[in-house]
Amino acid sequence: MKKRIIGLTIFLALNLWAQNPDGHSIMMKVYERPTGQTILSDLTMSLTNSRGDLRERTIQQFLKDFGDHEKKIMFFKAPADVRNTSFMNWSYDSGQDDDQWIYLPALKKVKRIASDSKSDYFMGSDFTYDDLGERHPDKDDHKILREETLNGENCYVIESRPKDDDNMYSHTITWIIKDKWIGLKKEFYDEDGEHLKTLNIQKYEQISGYWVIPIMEMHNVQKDHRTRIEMKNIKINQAVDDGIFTERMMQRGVR
Amino acid sequence: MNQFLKGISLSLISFAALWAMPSLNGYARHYSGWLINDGSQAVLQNTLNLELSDGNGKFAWKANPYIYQYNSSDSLKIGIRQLYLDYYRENFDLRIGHQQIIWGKADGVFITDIISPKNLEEFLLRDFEEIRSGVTSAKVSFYRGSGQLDLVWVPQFTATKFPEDGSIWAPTKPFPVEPIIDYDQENIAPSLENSEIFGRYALMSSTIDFELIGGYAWDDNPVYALKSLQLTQDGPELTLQPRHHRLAIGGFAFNKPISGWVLRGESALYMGKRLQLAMSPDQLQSLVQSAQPLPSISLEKNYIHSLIAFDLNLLGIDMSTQIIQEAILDYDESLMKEEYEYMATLMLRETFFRETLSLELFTYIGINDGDALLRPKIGYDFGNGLGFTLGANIFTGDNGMFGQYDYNDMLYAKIRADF
Repeated sequence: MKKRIIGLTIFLALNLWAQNPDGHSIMMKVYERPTGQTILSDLTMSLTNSRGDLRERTIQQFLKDFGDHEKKIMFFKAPADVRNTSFMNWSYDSGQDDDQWIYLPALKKVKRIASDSKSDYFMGSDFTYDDLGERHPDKDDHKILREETLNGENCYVIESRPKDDDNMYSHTITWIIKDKWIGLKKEFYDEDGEHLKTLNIQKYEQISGYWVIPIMEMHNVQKDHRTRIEMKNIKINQAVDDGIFTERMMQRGVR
Repeated sequence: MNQFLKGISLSLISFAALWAMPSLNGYARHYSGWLINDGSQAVLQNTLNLELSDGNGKFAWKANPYIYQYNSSDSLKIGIRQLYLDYYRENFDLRIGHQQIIWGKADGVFITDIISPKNLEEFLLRDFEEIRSGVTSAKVSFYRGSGQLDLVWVPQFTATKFPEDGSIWAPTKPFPVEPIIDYDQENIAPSLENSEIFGRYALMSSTIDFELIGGYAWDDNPVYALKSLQLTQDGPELTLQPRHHRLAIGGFAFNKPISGWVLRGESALYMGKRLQLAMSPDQLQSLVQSAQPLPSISLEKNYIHSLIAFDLNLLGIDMSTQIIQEAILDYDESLMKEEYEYMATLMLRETFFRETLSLELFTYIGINDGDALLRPKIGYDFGNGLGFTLGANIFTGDNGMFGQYDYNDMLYAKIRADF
């Protein structure tokens, strides 16, 4: 009888959640959405300023999930003055600071870099290092604001406020596609609560059974400049040797 | 042997270049500099630096020729900075040829970074890749996990290149009279006995990155030996011979992340390093008058060169500070160098307008002599590889490594196009 009551309680709780999920659970669904153990891609980052001037950077990127940590290595291909520069990042589920190294071909040396500046902008783009990483939902308080349709998709609209005081954003608002658990749009608000940036997902598709986002654009609405990231040649779960995430490969590059 | 290695790499690279279309990269740069003291143009230089390379998963090669045009078209310097062939296997690499080999964790200071000699024709003012000369050598690297073991054999010794006499960068010679320099004994003949060997184990990990290095080498910097001393109508005439000496080196380097900072350290023990003795005018006079055989004017000592450094990013500004100590063990008061000499460096860097504009200050501070070199610069990135730099080299103090160039304060401009 006791077991039946427990089983019924769990069933009702799950049913209730399905009808009324809370903000944290939705963000966990997004965080835990399978992305594959490895991702390879060629990435083009296009930076446009308020006058419409365009600058482009192309990067070859390898990413591997090792369970409790993730390693990423980026090889810069263009423009010519950054060619053969490489950047490696090891991030940890435990919340320990990321380990980051950069190889500068002019110095012929791999340098370890201070990594507490997650609010720094990556390579002059509108994305901070934190924006490009996966922020654990436990770091924020989440609240469902409403449900609405965006670009033909039914979405939850979630407001997230960081628990720590030193975050560069006062809060963010994210449009999450129901069933797919993809963030379709995200608004970032600065420390004064003013709208700072908007991230728009311009394309999402399934590759090898995983939802991926090949094209996205971040628009800094205060300075009116944009960064568009387009990923091509995306390969998921292709074998990636652990040896690629080493000083040897940072210096040698990939061919 | 040196010619043999060079010959092999050149032949293989020529062969490779015939059947494969190499990739061509590099840069063209214009560099003008003016002395603040009198407004004269001290530097007018155009540079073309080419990098040709090709390869597959097993073999690769690279050639890095350069051309410097000085002041006018009648002064050209053409050379090859690097020319090598790589052979890759799963757990080891082999590189043969003329190559730059850079070790250690220090910035702008050379402690365990002992293989590639320095080109100091423009003191420390050249871009880093131009300060380091290539060495003809064979390097084999073995890999396991995030660790690697490098072994290097250098069949022909290459010395530090100093500014020519008459150059504004020619260092002050620390003798009571201007000596005559006889370079007859400076070159080291290439032979198996005269070759240099180096080894390094390096590990990269989340907790710490470290390197252990060792080597049996020639000192890149010569010390002077007394060849002759005679009294002429104009006074004592001193003839000196720069000579290189053997030494053994052991050291380590590390960097460790600490709460968003990076702590760096590096230290090397140079065993049997020759150091110059001080020579006052009185000592020179008594040497001239005495009939004894010419004495040695250097002493062999063990010497430790160390560094501790902190890197951090504060309010968006990259900051780096290094404290460097040179210590002579079993010190002798007659040595020219002090028992302990200290130097510090400070680097500040900030970028603006989405990294198109950068401001940077790199400073060397000689603590013993109270001298310094300040290198502020402003850079603008036009995109597509085109960049402009405006900077200054400000020397302060009267003596010491930097103070001796107090009259060489300079403003400069560079425009560089990478392709």
